[in-house]
Amino acid sequence: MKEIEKSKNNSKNNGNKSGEKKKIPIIQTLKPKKRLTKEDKEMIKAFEAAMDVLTKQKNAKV
Amino acid sequence: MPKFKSFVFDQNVFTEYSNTLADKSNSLVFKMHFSSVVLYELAATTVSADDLDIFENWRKFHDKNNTLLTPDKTDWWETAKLIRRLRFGDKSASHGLTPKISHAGQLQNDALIARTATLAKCYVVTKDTDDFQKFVPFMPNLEIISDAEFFG
Repeated sequence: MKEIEKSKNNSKNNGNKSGEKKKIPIIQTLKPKKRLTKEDKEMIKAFEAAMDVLTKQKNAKV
Repeated sequence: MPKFKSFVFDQNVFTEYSNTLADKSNSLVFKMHFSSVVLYELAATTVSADDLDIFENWRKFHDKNNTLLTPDKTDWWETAKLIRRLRFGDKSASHGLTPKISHAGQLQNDALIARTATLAKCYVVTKDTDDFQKFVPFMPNLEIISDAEFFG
């Protein structure tokens, strides 16, 4: 019985029962760049540093 | 999926999802454009000089890659006309009469982000989809994606 209920729940979560597909968040569909140049790495670093500043600011407010 | 491939984040996305963005940096930085208006909003509230330098460094990369969206004189003029249309509830070619928005002046920055993003064929990712939707009658190519749709 438990197995059947579990199966039903899974079906609901996947949206199979209603025919609706669960949307994949766009961020998960973006592929990372494989071959990175020195400048690419520096750009990533610059971006991450800026995000760290924002996280720090957010935490300071809480 | 959005019709445009590249995207621009609104200021509220950066402040809300900075952790997630840092984790996914390699998937994001080469596909995103960056708005000077958003940079202004982020930098103006920065306290330390070191933090300001970090934003400056980040800005330089987007400037060099031509992915920094900065409104020019035409963008400012067209945005002024858009905000005026919203204030007076002007008729739109695609939507007919639009509701009057008395606080339309407060939407100036969002309107600049929307205009420059549309011209660069980028969609806007924002938490304030309702505000950006107000521009659609006068900016039919504007594509807006909610933070929930982007980040899940």
